[in-house]
Amino acid sequence: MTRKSIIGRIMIVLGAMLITAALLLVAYNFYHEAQSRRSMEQVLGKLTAEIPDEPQEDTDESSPFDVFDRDEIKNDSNEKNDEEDPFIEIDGRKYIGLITMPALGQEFPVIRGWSYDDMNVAPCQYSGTRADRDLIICSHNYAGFFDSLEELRSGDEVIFTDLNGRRYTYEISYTELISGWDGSRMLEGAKTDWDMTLFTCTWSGYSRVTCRCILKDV
Amino acid sequence: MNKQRSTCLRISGAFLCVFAMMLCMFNCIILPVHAAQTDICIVGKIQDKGIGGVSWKLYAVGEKAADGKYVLTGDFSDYPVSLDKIDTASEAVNAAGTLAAYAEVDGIKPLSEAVSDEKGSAVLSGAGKFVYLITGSVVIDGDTKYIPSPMLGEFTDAQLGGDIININAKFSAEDIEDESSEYGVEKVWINADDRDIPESISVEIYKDNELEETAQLSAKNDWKYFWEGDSKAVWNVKEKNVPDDCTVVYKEAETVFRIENTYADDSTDESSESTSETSSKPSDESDDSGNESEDEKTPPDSSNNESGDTHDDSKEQVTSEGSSMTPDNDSSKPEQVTGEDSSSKSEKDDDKDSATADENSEKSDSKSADSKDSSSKSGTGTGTGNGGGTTNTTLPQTGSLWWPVPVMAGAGLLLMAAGVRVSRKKEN
Repeated sequence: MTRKSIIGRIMIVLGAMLITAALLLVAYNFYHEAQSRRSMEQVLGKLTAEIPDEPQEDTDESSPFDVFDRDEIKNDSNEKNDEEDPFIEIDGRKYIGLITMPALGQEFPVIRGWSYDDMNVAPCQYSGTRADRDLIICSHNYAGFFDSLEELRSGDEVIFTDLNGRRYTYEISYTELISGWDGSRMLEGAKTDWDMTLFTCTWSGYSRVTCRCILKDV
Repeated sequence: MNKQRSTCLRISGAFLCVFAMMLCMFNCIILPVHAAQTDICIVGKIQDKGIGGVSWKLYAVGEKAADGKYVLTGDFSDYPVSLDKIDTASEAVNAAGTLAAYAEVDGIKPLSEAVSDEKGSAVLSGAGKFVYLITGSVVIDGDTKYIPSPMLGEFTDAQLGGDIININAKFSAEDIEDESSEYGVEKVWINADDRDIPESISVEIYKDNELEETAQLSAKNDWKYFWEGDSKAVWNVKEKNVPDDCTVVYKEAETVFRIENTYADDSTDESSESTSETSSKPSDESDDSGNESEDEKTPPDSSNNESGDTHDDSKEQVTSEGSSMTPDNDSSKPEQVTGEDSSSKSEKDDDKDSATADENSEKSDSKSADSKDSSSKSGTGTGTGNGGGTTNTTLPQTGSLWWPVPVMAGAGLLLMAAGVRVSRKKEN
């Protein structure tokens, strides 16, 4: 066997290995995404069961003067804690509500705070709060997650349902691509340009597909 | 004789020179500090639309005493309000609201007064080296009542050195649903554990600055009083005969008022301060005082008044441009209290809504820096604060690893093709 023949065969083997690695990566991604989707569906079922169909007002407010205690919590919001945002704990994770995208026919639970582990289960509250009109929700672009976010168009509705069953209807104002290194731009314009933001990675992972939403109706 | 005369002349000349030099030094160093007065341009907007017709008033309410503490001065000096126990944004908001209520009800003459034009801007003159209070009148447009938040703070030397100080006012808006509403006032005693509180107190209720009635609050009516009143009127309350060792805070939200009388805390350990109220409602005030530091405090700027901004389902939340800052990420300089200086708004846009002061903001800044660190290191975030401490960080990676797939597959195919070609070449 000549030297050139050996080189040729090595190249074929290496090429086959690369193709196999690509296929394995595809398989892993599909498996991982399917697992995440299953977890999310389970949580979604549990969370939907917990959220009342009819909106419920806070029942603990027995006096008109309770507004002061509510405001004090808001004013001293430097240290927001668990008491401020209502949440439901499911499987060790805290959920603050549901996000519904009628245009895509999708609904997601929203986890309070974010971590990479949490994002494998559901979209996460990256920053801000609904009440402060600067809520930013991030999610993986897995199939069944925010993979179709870029298909949303201006005027499409996005609904945030809180744990009391109150539905806050937002309208997509505009969509933009933000560099993954530009965290400050993601936060820009809260309250003035948008009231809620959804984002996920582009396919390359370099940028973030970002949907800015304006509160339309409660 | 001539010699003596010339000596006298020389000596007096020398004295004159020394006197002239001292006068120059006095002019250069002392006078500008006290004489520095700058105009304030205050702008009130709601979603780019200016709010005209707001009567803005500037008051000098206090100053920094020689011992570094802030004290009330002038017409405000006798009011039972403490400027020196302001550590949080909400305490500053409360102090501003209380002093504004006193100023309004007692008709204190402001330093300067101006009505905003249709663009929402008004110019107040006379800003100086004092603790200021800026109040604005309520404006009714159709069925909406726009309520400007009073602001309390201190101008920095840099601000006073400039031509004009720009302040973005903050408004809350309330829908007027009915012609009349039920109003209420509640009395709360704080730190009253072992003290003999009065059996009852008198509260004057003012409608458009005219005394409407005087209500008696006592344990019999659970220290509460309610009345029906014109929804479009401006209502205020004032407690008569405040006990000597109490400070007072007036709070107002929606259609209710709360008057808090806080007795001086005898305990030196403020973290163990206990709060007791005769009312059924607890107060969070004692929580805030837990982290007090007595050294060189500066009262937080109250221009970040959020009490009226609470977004309720029944209440439209409106903020002015300048209110896009949060206490979390205050960029105000330490040791200085500033208004919502719009000249630095662009820097603050990222930081959103803020107008707390030094200590508070330092705490906040370090907190947000901490969370920023934790965010970038561990790839997690609380997501609960405004901004979540994630400013200027990289955004989380929110996708599967797909890009290596075509790269590896393409490279593999190329390698295989090249390998086949090399092998065939040999065979040929």
